[in-house]
Amino acid sequence: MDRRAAILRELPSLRRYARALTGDKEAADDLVQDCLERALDRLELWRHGESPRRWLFTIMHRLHLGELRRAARRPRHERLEDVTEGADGTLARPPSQAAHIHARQVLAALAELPIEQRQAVLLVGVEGMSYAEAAAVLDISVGTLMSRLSRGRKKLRELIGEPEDRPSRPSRLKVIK
Amino acid sequence: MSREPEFSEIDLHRYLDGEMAPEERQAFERWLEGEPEAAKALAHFREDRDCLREILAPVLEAPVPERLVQAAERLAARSEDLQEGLQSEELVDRGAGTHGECPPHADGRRVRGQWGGWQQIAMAILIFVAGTSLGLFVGSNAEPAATSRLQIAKRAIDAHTVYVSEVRHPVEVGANEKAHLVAWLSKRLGARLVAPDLSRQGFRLVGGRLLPSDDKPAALLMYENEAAERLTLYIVGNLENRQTAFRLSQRGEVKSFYWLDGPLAYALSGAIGRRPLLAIANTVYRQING
Repeated sequence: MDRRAAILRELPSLRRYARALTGDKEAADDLVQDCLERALDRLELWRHGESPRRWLFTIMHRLHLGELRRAARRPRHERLEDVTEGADGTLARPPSQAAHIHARQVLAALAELPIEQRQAVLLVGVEGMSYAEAAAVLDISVGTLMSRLSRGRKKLRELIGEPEDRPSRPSRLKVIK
Repeated sequence: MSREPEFSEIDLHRYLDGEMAPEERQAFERWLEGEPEAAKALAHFREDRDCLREILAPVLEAPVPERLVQAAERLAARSEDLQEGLQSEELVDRGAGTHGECPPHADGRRVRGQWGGWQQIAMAILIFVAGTSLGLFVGSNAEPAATSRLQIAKRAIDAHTVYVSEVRHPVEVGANEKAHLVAWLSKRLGARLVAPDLSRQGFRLVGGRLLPSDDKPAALLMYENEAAERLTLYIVGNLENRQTAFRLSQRGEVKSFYWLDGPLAYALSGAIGRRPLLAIANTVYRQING
């Protein structure tokens, strides 16, 4: 395996996750850079023959947690909307159909989610991680991950769903298996 | 299966995220046909997920800022060094308790506890230097020379491996011409070299040789004890011209403590225990700076 290529391949995903997590372009890239530098001291945790993805995302997750702890609690909901404005022009491309209508709403809703739910929704839904992989990154059990994912997606839907959809909770479903 | 299983809300996600085995997927799909509410919820979850992906896709496609590419390249270069079989670690515990997931350097602490006198002074210097490098992380400055420093260890271990097994010609200039050897190598490296006296540690100087390090000269001094165990001290010009803590690299049986010290970089290598090697590295450090 070419380790160099494997690391470089993760860069865009790390940026995307950091961006969606923080909602701020500069803060996101700072987080990614901190992650890459911290990773220098954690190379031994990258297991041979494994994709560096879990290793790098885990480091970034911990750094972000540290930042959240340090930062005074302040709502940053509005920052996520910057994403659609494309400070660098990259997000100016109009998404198609339903997504176009809801883009801003969706990002605002994402920012409303508790951070634990946002992490789960993003790692699984956007980064395409398996439950086991996402749970490892977040240092939680797969059961906890599923619960956060389920609550996160439900909340997201409640926040962005069309008004007539809102009461239509799937009432026949058992919430817990 | 005689009876269709019941599925829960969690299963909508497991289905959506590809976490079901083929057989379970089929059972789920059959179940879903009779559950319009669940099917609608699933469609919404899928729509939201795809929407998020689409909105965030441009970040994925955007050019990566240069500073991140550089940080990634540094990481990649260092990981390739490791892939070549070099294991490296910081000897000195860098601020105990600052990062919980860091494995404790128990050895380092034991060693520190045993030391007295000059060793404590040397360690104090090392801890100070290490603390400075910790500061590097807290700020967002990169450590530009991480790779080249590991290269020093790699080359030192290469040279050690090649020459210690040499029976007839382990050195170019023997210890009987020590003054000439030191003067010659100092001239070639462009800095004052010291051939440390390790006789109190049981090692006598065998001699030394000149080596290439890319297009620059490097020096290798060889020592041997009564048991015919050999140590080498690899010395090369230090482009950074600064000091660092000892770091330990290891490949197979060969361990190497390496450090930067002003105009020169040093690596003391040998297939002996880590603690005796460290003690000798401290002696070398002290004599060079004495």
